[in-house]
Parts: sequence; structure tokens; C-alpha cells
Amino acid sequence: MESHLIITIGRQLGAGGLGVARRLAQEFGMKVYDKELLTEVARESGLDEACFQKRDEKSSRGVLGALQGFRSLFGMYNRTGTDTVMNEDKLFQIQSEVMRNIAAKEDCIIVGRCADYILRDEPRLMSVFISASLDSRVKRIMAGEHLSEEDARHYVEQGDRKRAAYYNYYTFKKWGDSASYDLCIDSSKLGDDIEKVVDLIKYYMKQRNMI
Amino acid sequence: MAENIPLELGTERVGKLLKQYAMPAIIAMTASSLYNMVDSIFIGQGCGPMAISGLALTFPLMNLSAAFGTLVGVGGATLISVLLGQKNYPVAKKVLSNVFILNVLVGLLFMTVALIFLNPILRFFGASDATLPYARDYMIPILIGNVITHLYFGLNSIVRVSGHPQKAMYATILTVTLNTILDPIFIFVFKMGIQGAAIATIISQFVSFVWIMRIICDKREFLHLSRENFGLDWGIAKRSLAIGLAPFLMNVASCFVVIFINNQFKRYGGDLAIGAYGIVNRVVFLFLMIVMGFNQGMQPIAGYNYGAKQYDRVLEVLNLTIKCALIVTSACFIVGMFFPRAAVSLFTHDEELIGLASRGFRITVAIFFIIGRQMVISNFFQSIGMANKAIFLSLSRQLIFLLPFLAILPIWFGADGVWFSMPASDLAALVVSEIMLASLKRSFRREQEAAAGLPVAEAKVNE
Repeated sequence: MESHLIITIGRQLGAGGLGVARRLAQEFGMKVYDKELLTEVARESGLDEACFQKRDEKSSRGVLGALQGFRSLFGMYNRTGTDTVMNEDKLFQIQSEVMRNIAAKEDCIIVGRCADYILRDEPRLMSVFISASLDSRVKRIMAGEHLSEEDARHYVEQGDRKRAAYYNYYTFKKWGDSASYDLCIDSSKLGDDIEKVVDLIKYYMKQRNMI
Repeated sequence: MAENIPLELGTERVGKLLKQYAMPAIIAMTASSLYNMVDSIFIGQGCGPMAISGLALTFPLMNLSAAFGTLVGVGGATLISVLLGQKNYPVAKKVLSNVFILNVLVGLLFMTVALIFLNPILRFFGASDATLPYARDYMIPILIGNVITHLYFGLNSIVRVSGHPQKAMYATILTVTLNTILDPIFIFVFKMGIQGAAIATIISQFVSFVWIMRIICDKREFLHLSRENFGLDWGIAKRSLAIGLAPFLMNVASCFVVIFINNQFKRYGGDLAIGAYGIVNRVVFLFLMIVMGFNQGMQPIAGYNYGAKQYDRVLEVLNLTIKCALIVTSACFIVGMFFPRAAVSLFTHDEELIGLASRGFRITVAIFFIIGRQMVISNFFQSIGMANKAIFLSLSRQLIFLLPFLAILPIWFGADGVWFSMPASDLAALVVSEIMLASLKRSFRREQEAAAGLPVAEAKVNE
């Protein structure tokens, strides 16, 4: 059976990654999974979607870990090591499983959520990372989310930090590190023009005989 | 459907699930508590009442050593299970070799520091001139074997998460069995006293460690320890230590509580009171660990169904676990109230010690017929991801309420006051957990009504 064409798009917050994904999807008639992935995950796992929304792209272990090793006063040894609680790691595991199921079923574009790593063994996978200058990202967020410049800047920086922590935690690689992706594009260098970014990706895919 | 998505948690009968998930945990927990109990029994019977007190003094130090083990082990096992889920064997191997090296380093460091300062440490823990020699005799072999202990526990938990839970369990059972055979040989045949018990412990762990090493070096396994790429990766080390830090600190905190208890006993009741506490501790522990096993079994079931918003099932598993826990703690209550001498006599023939321990046992289990509820409820908050509430509830029983009672009650009641502080803090913690559970149940009900389209008084629920 021929494997499916899969594009994964990593993106800095406000770099226009989702827009690029949507345009590419139109172009090739593929489905985009961004937040949609969570719906799918919820459907397949039987868990409530809110459960995943709350934890979306978060790796925070919080104080929960503290309890694993807590022993009662009367207790001595309880070094079981792992837990069976529905924690972030478990949800990541479920999400990975669902992602692999999707990749086995159809051509698709997956935005964020460590897709390039989870699906790294797919033969027809292309991973893209889209970055942009801080200024143009802040501008895009100001327009899209109706925020003041200061708030938008804060939002962007926070968002990047969270995404990096999530990616680095689960993949043991560095988020946005060029060695991790097939193609890295600075969209602001292309005048923040999504069409140009899409063209560039299509050109690359042609060169790689993917389309 | 993939094995990683445990849909059965949302559909299968709750009773069946609890049995399935709790059984392995109960076996593992009972094995380790039996092991500790057997050790104490042989020492008490073979080396006399002061040896029991000496041994009890070492509990916090052993606990501290175990805490350092979790510092390395919990993080390593967590990272490896995440990596194996993604079939990322190269990095998983790196983590494995990291765990190995870190265990050796931390084990050696702990050994060196503890050996050099053994006397002042034991004095601080509550040792007297009479008990210090026993505690020293026991600790020296244990500390020399500390690296083996750390490696054995650390690697065993990795074997458990890397797809061989049975083998990990067999290793535990092997250690317990060997120790039970070797203990009397070293104490009664070789006449090595309390030191013999420590040597028996280390030898049993060493044998299991060798077996674990064979599994973990097996080249046919995807995850194995190999010479190539063997080394310490600081990035990974930092991460696994960061994960282990919180459990480590909790363990350290609980060590200090035990140290405080021992010191209060020494001050108000003398050396034998510490021994009596050691005995009661061992017996009660056996029961409480079974409750912990039920708790572990409840966690995934409650967690999943809470995530799936199946609140009826969440409460069903909670109530069932509480029932099981109450049966176990009530059994402990019956033993402690009506047959304390029989239980305590297992450990010693000394009339004075039997008297002290029986009385202490009675007081400790005073409200045990109900305490199962508190243990399950605080664990329940953990399994549905309300970590802060869970941590508060855990701390409330073992720290927040206990410490003031421990400090104040002995002033009026002497050694009895130290014993009384345990049921007193249990009771206070129980009240708090009941209040928190009642409020959680209300929010479940509100959410269910909201989902059913009924009018709700407050818009924001479950926050």
C-alpha cells in the first residue's frame, strides 16, 4: 500500500504557519489538523475534548510529580518509578497514537504538536518550520487577536516559550533548530506573503519528487 | 484500537477494572512491606529489644537513601517510558546509561557522606549510647552496599516500564525470598547479630541486581545497556533530576517528620519507646501498603473517566476503593485494638517493650476503622489531576496537622502524647478531606445538571 503524503508544519507564534497550512491544503485537497487534531483525539480516546484543550502543547509536570514519590509516614520503599495517572505524558502518548492513525489513513497536514517527530518514520513526510521576525509576528497577532502592541509582544514571547518547552520535552531535540526540519522558512523575508511561502514549499516538493 | 488508548477504562465493569489494576500493585507493595517486617522480626528475636530501637533509628536514614534513589530513578523511568512510546531507542539508551551512572555517583556520594558522619547523624536521629552501636552495626553494611541498592531499585523500575513488568516483579519477590532465607542464617547460625541482617539484605539485593543486569544488558532487547554511547549526558541528567526533585523533597520532608517523632519518643519515653514505634510502624505499614495498592489501581480508572466526564463511574470507582480500603484498615483496627500483644510478640519477648508497643499500637489505630477514607480521598484528587488539592491533603495528615500535635501533646501526656498525635492528625485530615470531597461532588452534580440542560445557579463550574 502506498504511504500517504504528510506535511508537518512547525511554527513560531504569529509566523502565519496555520495560514500556510490552510493554503497548502486547498492546493492539494488535503485535510489540515490543527485544533482539529484534538477533536479527533477526543473522539478516538473517549475522553472529553476539554481535557486535551487544557493541556494542548503543554508539558508542565507541575506538582503532580511530587506525589508520585510521596510515601506515608509509615511507608518506606515505594519506588515504583512511573505512575498510571492520566497525566500529560499519557495524553501525549494517546495523541501520538491518533496522529499515526490519521497518517495511515489519509494525506494530511499537521500543524505543531511535535508531528515531525512523532511521524518521523513516515516515508513521504515533509517537515517545514516557519519563523518570522518578532515585529511582523507582533503585528499579525495585534491584528488577529485585537491586542495592544505590548500585550501582543508578551503573548508571542509566552507562546514561543511554551511551544519550545513542549517540543523539547517530548522530542529531545531543539524546537526550531534547522537540523530538525526539512525546510525552514522565514516568512517575513518573503514580505509576509503566504502565497510566496506556499510557492516555495511547492517548489521544494517538486524538487524532491513528492508531487 | 491501539493498546495505548485504554478504552476499556470507560466501558468495562468498574469492579473488574479495579481488580485488574490494583492486584499487581498490591502484590508489589505487600512484598516490600513483608520484607521490612521479616527483617525486623528476625532482628528483634535474635538481637534483643535494644536492637529493635537501633533499627528503628535507621528508618529515616534508609528513607533518605531511598529518597536519593527516587531523585534519579523516577525521572529516568518517566523519560524512558515517554521515549519508548515513540520508539526512540537511541535516546532511551542514553537515558538508561545516564540512570546507571547517576545511580553510581549518587550512591557513592551518599555512602561516603553518611559513613563519615554516621555518629552525628544517628545522634541527631535520636540515638543514645545504648542504641547507637546497634544502629551503626546495621547501617555500615547497608551503606557499603548502598550503590548496589540504588542500582537495583533504579534499574528494576526501568525494567518495569520497558515492557517487562513481570520480570520486575519476580526480581522483587526474589529479593524478599532470599532475604527471608538468609536473615536467620546470618543471625542465628553465623551469630552475626544485627550486622548479619544488614549483610543478608545486601546479598539478596546483589543477587537480584545481577539478574536485572542480565536483562538490561540483553542485546536482543531494543532497550539495553551497551558499551558504545555509554556516558553521562548533562542535558538528560538535568531533566531527569528535575522530574525527580519534587518526589525527592517530599521524601526528605517525611524523613524529617520521622526524625522528629523518634526524638520526641526518646525525650518522653526513652530508647524503648523508639523501638515500640518501630514495631508498630512495621505492622501498620503492612496494612497501609495494601490500601496504597488499591489507590494505585484506582488512579487510571478514576483519571480516565474524569477525563471522559463519566462522573457516575468516577464516583463508582471512588466508593468501591473506599470500601476496599475500609475493610483493610478495619482489619488493622481489629488487630491493634483486640490482639495487639499477639502481633507485637512476633518481634520481641521483652515484656516492657511488648507493653509499650501494645499500648502504642492501640492508640495508633484508634480511628483506623475510618482512616481508609482519608487515604483514598487524597489519592483520588491526585488521580483526577487536582494535584494541589491532593498535595495539600497528603501534607495535612503527615505534616501540617501532625507536627503541631507532636510538639504540643507530649507536654501533657508524655510518650502517650506522641502516640496520640497520630490519630489526632488523622482525624483532622479526615475532616478536611471530607469537606473537599463534598464540594467536588457538588460540582459534579452541577455539571451533570448543566449538561442535561437543567438551569444552573452558577455559570462557572468545576474550576
